[in-house]
Amino acid sequence: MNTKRNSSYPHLHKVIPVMAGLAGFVAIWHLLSNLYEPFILPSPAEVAERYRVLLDNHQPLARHFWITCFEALAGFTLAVITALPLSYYMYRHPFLDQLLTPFVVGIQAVPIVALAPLLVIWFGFGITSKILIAALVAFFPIVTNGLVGLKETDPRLRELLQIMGASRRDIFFKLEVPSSLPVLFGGLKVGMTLSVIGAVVGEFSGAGKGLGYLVNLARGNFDTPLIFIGLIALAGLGLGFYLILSLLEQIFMPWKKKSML
Amino acid sequence: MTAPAIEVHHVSLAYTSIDTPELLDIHLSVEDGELVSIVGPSGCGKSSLLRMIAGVLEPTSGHIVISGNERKRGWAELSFVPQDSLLLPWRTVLDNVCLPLELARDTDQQTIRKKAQEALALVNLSGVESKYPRQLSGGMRQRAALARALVGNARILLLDEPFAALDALTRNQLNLELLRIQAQTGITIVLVTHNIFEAVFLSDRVIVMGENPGRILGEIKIPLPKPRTLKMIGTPEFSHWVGTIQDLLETGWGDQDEH
Repeated sequence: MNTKRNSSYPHLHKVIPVMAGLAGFVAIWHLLSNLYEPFILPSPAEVAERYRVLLDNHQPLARHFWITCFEALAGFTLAVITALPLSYYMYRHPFLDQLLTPFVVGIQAVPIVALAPLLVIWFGFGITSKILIAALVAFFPIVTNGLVGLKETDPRLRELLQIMGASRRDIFFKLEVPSSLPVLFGGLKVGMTLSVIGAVVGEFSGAGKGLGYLVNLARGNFDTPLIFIGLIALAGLGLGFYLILSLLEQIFMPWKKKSML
Repeated sequence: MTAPAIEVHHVSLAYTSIDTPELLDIHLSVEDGELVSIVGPSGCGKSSLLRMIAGVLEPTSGHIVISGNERKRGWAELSFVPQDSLLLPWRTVLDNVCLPLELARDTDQQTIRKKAQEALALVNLSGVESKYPRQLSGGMRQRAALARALVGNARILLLDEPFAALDALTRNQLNLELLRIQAQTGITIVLVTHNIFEAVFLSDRVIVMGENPGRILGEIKIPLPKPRTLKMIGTPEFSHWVGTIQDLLETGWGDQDEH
């Protein structure tokens, strides 16, 4: 009987804990908000009310949301198309790996908050500097994981394919690419999330639109409920990107499907 | 008269220095349709010898001839079954078995799949085509690896301790399967193992190797009748051949002690 019920709602066992966690979070938030002034910690109802006012005043939350979304996505795409070929060349040419790894690690160690103002000065207050900042922070986990994934290719499998007569191209497409996917997707997930942070940091450093700009504006006006709206929108954006990548992960790695569920 | 399937001519292998070779002056020949086992202690270079025959390791001196031609990497004439099945985890069983034919690029996809299904049927593994390797037992994975090795036109099968990680029952079962497949296909088999019982049970001839450096201590023909059954393992004749190989292996230990 249980089996029948479970098969009717195959995703119920995953949805229920998420909903329960969300409800618990809102409940704790509500309880904590009773202990503080709304200026410090507004209640969920006050944030909802502020959102309603925002809609009534036709203030463009959606526009800010989509701008940050575009900056993060464009930055992430730029990071992917530069990081993946680089990780492959670093894998194929150990000299390049030795040459570039100190730079990769060194630049990664510099906080993006410190680099962002420089990029804004160089590339202006427009969308370009935000895309570049998002790309810069997303680049390193992708290049690092791409390289690690390729390096983890089982040498015994490579030898076996060579015995079968595989060409260099065959080994790349039939062995190295699928073998590195699990580690690479780990890097893509981190990079995607970081690209949202990068876009927001860029907007903090100087912008006229985007969720980072909105939060910064609300901070200046001591509008704490609006800050919360911005944060919730950012969390939703990051979560959305993460889920899309998880879906792609399942599509590209069907052999891992069961372990990912 | 046809050329031997494999001829190894005075092959030596030195990873570090020629003064300390891993393999020293290996000279052997395997006839077409023969099942030869190479037995020896761990580290004597059995697997290295097999990898040299497969073309992925270059001998320091000497040369290897396959069916009358100098051997080369990626020859369809040869196929290889490693100790761990080494199936590609991202491919289904059927796609894994299709792999050698895909790499050979000499036939269409439909024929490839048909041949792969025939190879799976040959190793009694029909019905699991769409499963992934992690969904199979160890024995089934080895059967799939065997099917992958048999799917092409290979006339020589190199087996590197293929059943070493399996339990005794599965191992016996697969040994019988291997004998049936060899009788059915007439394929030449070179099996590397450190299990003397397995070597005697399966082989027409056993090559015994010693270590430090890896070298051939002797060759023993196994005149047990075919088809072989598991009941033979308990017979005095079987025990005699096991004892003969064991004695030969011990001469290698003696040499090592003298060194």
